Amino acid sequence: MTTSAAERTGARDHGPEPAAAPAFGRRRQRSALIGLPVAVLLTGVIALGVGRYTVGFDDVVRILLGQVLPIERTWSDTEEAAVLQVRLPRVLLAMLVGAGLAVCGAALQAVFGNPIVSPQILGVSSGASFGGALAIVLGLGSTALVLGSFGFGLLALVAVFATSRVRGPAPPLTIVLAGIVVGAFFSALVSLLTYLADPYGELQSIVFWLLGSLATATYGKVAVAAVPVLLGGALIYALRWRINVLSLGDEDAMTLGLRPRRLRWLLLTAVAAVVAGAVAVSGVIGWVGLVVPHLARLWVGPDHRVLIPVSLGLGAAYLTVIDTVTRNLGVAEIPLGVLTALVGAPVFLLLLHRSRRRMWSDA
Amino acid sequence: MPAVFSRRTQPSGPPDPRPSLDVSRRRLLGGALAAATLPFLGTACGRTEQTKSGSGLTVTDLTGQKLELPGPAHRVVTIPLPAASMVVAVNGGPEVLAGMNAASLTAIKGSFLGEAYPELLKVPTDVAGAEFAPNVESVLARNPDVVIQWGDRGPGIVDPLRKAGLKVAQLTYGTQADLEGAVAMYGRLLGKQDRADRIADGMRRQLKKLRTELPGRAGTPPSVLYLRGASDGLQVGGGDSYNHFVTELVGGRNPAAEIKAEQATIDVEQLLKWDPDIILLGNFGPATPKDMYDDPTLAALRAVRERRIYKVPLGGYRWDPPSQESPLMWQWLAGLVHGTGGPGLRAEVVREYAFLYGAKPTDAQLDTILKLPANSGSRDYDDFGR
Amino acid sequence: MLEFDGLGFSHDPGQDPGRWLFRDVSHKLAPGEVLTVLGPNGRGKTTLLRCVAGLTTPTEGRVRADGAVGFVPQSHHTTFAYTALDMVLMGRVRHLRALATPGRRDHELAYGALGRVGIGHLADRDYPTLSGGERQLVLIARAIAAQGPVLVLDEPASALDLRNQGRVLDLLRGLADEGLAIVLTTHHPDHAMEIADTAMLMFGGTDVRIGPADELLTDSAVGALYGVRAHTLVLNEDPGGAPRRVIVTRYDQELPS
Repeated sequence: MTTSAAERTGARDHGPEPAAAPAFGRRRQRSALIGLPVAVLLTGVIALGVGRYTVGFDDVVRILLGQVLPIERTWSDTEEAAVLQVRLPRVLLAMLVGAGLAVCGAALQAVFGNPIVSPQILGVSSGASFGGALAIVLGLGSTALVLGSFGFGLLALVAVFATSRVRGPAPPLTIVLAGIVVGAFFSALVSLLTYLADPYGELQSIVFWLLGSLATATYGKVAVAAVPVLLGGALIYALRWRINVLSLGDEDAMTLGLRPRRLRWLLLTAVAAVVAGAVAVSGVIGWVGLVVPHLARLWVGPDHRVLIPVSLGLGAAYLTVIDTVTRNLGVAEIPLGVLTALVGAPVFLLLLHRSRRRMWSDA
Repeated sequence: MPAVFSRRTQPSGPPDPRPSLDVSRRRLLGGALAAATLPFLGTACGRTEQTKSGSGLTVTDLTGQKLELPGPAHRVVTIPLPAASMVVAVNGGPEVLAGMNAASLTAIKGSFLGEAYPELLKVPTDVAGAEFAPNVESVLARNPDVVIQWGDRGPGIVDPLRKAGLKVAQLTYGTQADLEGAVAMYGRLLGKQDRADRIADGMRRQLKKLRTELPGRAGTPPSVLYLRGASDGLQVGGGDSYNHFVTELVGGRNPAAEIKAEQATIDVEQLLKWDPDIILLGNFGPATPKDMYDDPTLAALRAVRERRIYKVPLGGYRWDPPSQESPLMWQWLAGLVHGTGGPGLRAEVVREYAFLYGAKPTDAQLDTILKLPANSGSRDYDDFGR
Repeated sequence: MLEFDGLGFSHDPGQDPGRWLFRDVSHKLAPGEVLTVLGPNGRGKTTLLRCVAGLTTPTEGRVRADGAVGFVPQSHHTTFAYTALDMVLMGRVRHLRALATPGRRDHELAYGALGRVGIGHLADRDYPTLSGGERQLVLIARAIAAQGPVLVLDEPASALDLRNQGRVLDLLRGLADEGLAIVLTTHHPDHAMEIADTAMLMFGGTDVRIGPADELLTDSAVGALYGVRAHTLVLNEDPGGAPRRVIVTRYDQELPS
């Protein structure tokens, strides 16, 4: 043995690193986790303050406060209805759906170890919309709608996973291809349903619903969406650190002592629940699940302990802003899905172009 | 040739390849023009474009294209939705209808027309698929003398029929002029000129009557918003719609006139902002006045508070789009807008249906046609039209 | 303690007896023992390690370990650009409850492990931006943070510079001295002679020799294993200390095969 004793112990005696000055990345994470809830709340209040029916912003605040404090009534019934019955459920729904889809996108990207997947690309949205459309055609209620969406959304996920992993983990392109195929299959089934549906009864309902809109938001729909979105979202949030380990791949996860199969099933089920809740109340709203996790990753890095909550907040704010724009732009409503794609696609291209290296190492 | 038709006349050229958006913009102009010139058209519509050469028959359709038939048509396939019931009405019986759109049948099912002519329920409906695309082989199997198809939705839905050797008569849609043109064209195609004239005359008489006899009102006219009737989503009739024409005809104001389109989807806040006096719920969906009265988001609406939301009647066909029954729709709406309740409307419906469909509706059938059950919670609708 | 008994692996077991990558490999590692596996490319070193680590099912035989076997692969890439610290933290997953996230103690252990392999200053660097050698060190730190009784490393020194090779060998010997059982592969007889208690030479098929490293590692054995000419040198580096034996290769001459 030739190495000197001093050097040998030197290598061994590096104590814990001083944590006094957190690195730039961790400072950013901290500011995001503190700043984002405030930003989401502010976005919500501003969204409540604007709409086609003019209500003064001070009145909006007073109407809101008036629900909990004894304030003298200076506003009309119509103004109160516009804020509390029209805008508030709509803003709540936008936040639920946006947060849910963004979290699902982040979780799926980790589960598949592939940053270019999302609920829409993997065909979950198509599967869920087929389940929902089936419930509409059969004349079932909103619970069946959610359950149908959940069942077929999960089926789509399983199909993608099974086909893309015949032998070992699949390259990203294979996963995307499998998703496109599964999505196309369920889209075809939806088309088949619309062909069978009554053109002035269920068909209109299906077409309107599939377009992707929050225009018909009610507290009932908020409740319908809240249950699966919050349940699934809470599970994903709780598992957020294990998602890091899972994203390394099955083999790595196994040598570290994680059971990847079980965790993946849990996560896929949670994702299917959240997507079902979102699709049931708002149809297929694309791009949120793809773009928002990328924006979040650019901001706070890939650690899912931070990425999941930041995606959640960013998704809520993002969809609220986009929906507020759609309902204020013209007299006639622009479909929400159109705007999320119009904004999402270029933003994604820009991200892809400018910061591929920062977002993932080797796609 | 009347001015209204000249804008579409393309004697021997190919069908108009321009997209339908363009067509609808031109239709706005045409609609305004038509409304202005209608009283002067007289009976010109019914006669201009027919020449008899031997036993053959040359008919110019609404896009200005000529088609030649050996004689009056005995077998007709209709692809546009309102065409089926209109062909039956002009013909005075259902036997000419050899095939129709499935969605035409949904309007006939459970309606007065279906009760008057139960055989209509057995007419094949496989002649067209989604978006009016013809199933050429199914059409051929019906062996029709003429096929009625839209002329303002591009050549893609017309050419396949022509290439298969079928005679196609094209319709244009949306204005009163289009409606009268369609009636006249069916009259010539079916050799039922007299019935067509009778229908067109009735329309013109009613138009003139409404224009001269409606009480002039001081101040702003009541606003009337037409919703197509979907249960989820507010699709309004814009400034280019036939509903806009009807509303203005009876002295109302369409708050959605600023939307330069046939229809558009709006949000609830826009509805609150317009706050119309009267809301009409069309038959392109199952929505009922009760749905809106019970909706907490709409509780502050004037039309909800004053109970002035009405489901549009449906008899031989939906009363909201232009049809042979449109004069009845005008009278119905005039009665609502002016609060007169449309006295004599029920008798008028009986008279008209006896002519159009050869059957007189019973009192119970009249209640169904005028949507008395759906409108029972709305103002001034008890025994409507009695 | 790690024990493997009658291990064998073949891609095509039923067909041809010569198709066995290795067969009948048995050994029992005591705590504190370092086993070094040597052999030419393609003789199944990595497969053997994967069988020992539980990642590949052997065709024959079985593996028993007194706890979790930590595995450090040779090459590794991640989809997401986690920091080195995040990577090491993931070694703690075995010790955390299902819905828990790493706490203060886990962070301390992770920093300690990074320090122990000598890259504490890289804690906040993104893992994919590190050099191949640095990444290997991160993975070793991760295995240390996992605190398992057995460590299996596939050519842990292959991507390291000379100085870091020394550090890693030293580190592994130190870990063994603390009671870990360690299995590693290498192509350097020197490395084996530096730290190994036991050596395994994979000549192919059923010819797998296991024995004390000092006895098994001779110039003739190494020469025969790789098909090269090898010589033994004895160096007296420290005047008062014991002489050191090294095996060197003549790179311009191959043995006739």
